[in-house]
Amino acid sequence: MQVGIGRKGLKSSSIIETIVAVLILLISFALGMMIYNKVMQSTYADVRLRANLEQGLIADSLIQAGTFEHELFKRHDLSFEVNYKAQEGYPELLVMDLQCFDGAGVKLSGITKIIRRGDGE
Amino acid sequence: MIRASALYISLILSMLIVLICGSILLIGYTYRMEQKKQERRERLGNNLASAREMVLQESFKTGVSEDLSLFGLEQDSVQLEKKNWGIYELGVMKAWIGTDTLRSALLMAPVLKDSLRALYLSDEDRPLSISGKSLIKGTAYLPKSGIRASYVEGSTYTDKTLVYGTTRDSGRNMPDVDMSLLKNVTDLMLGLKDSTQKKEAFPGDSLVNSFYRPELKLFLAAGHADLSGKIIKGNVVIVADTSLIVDADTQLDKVILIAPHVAVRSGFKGNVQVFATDSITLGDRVQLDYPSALLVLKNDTAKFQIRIDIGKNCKLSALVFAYEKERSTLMPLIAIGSETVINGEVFAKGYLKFDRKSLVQGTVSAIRFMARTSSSLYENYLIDTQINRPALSRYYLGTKLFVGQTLGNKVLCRLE
Repeated sequence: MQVGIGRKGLKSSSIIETIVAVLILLISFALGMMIYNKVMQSTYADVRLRANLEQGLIADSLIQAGTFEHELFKRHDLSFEVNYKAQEGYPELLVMDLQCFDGAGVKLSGITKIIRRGDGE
Repeated sequence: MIRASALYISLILSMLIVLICGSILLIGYTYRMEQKKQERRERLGNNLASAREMVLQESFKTGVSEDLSLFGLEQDSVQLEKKNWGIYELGVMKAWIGTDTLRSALLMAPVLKDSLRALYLSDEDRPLSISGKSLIKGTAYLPKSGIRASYVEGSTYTDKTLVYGTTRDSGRNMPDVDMSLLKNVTDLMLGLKDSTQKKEAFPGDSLVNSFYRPELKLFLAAGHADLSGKIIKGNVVIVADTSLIVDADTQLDKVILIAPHVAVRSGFKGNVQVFATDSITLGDRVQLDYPSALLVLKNDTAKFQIRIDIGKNCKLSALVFAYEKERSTLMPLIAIGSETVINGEVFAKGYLKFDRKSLVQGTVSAIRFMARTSSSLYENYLIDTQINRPALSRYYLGTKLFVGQTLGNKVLCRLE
């Protein structure tokens, strides 16, 4: 079909062509959104990054404090739990296990390291 | 004429959307991979720090290499190794997850138990005399006959206080030396007697060996024991059965030298452990950086006086040690030149001779002191000599050579 507008002529699309085009666009958008969501979910969440950074800070502070007792505490919206146990065969050493959880109790990060009992002195 | 083909345009748009989505996916994937890599690196760093704490412990025996899982979990494999490096201990740690590996090498040494011990003079029933602008600061272990101010060649002791610190009685014997560690040192020197060992010339101008690699021991042939202009760094032991010469243009870093006689010429700067059976001679203006060591150990059969001669204006951050097992008439001698500064420990199971204006920031131990003036040599005199223990850096670490004088290990320096 061809309709003349002034001296120019526009070639219009049929209804089938339009429907197919809309379908293709919808499928592309859906696929795009899916991929985008997946990427956003798979990348490192802000809260996880913060948990990771704070746990290092807290581990250092605890070692400096030198108390070495089981402890539960909150810092902003994150919860931390620290446990210690003796390192077999090395009486001077302790294994420090520090875990970080979000408000819903989901584990965000953890650190396990061997420390010296006298490090805080 | 403008064509209005909706299918054609939508296909192009779809392709664009797919491309954009693909790019986002790729960026996300890369970011994720980098993040994982960073996490692994952090974990490896923690594992390496844990491994280091284990290696620093006394319970981890020297000469042991061990592979273990730190916490009995996944991703915590480490390899630990501890061995002697001269008078110090060398720790090499490796942590790995899959193909990712982090490693670290360090020298370790013990913290000194008594941070104020300045002087130990064996009790031979005669006092220590002090004269001129001398200074003793710290705890002094003196003979029962004590210390007195003396008048030597027109000058008397300029201060009123003889010892800035407490004085305690010393014993007739010198402080005990750890024979097992001394044996390690003498084992090092056994190479001198090994006649089957192939002797060679120094290969090229430089020799660099990482502490992650096996020790490199080089037996220098007679006539090739001059290290002038050579650059030697790292895990290298140089052995010569004659005289070993280190010149001002020699570059030494964490190297061990073994020879009957080692001569370090004036102006040398470096970091080295020297072991000799006869003597060590340092020229003027020699600078030995921490951690360095000068040790002369007398053979049981030797009939001569072993000695360490340190020139004028030297700056040593080192352990200076002269030792014989059984006391002889020709006791070992350490002679410290004028205006020389030693940061560390000086131990002579024999004579310790100070020239004027010499300074020890650390600890000195000897059976007898000697002081030289232009005309005479005085025994058990300190003339214009300063011994100042508090001036030694609080981060200075000692050696396990002295029994019962040290606490736990700490990291002395990191190695490559």
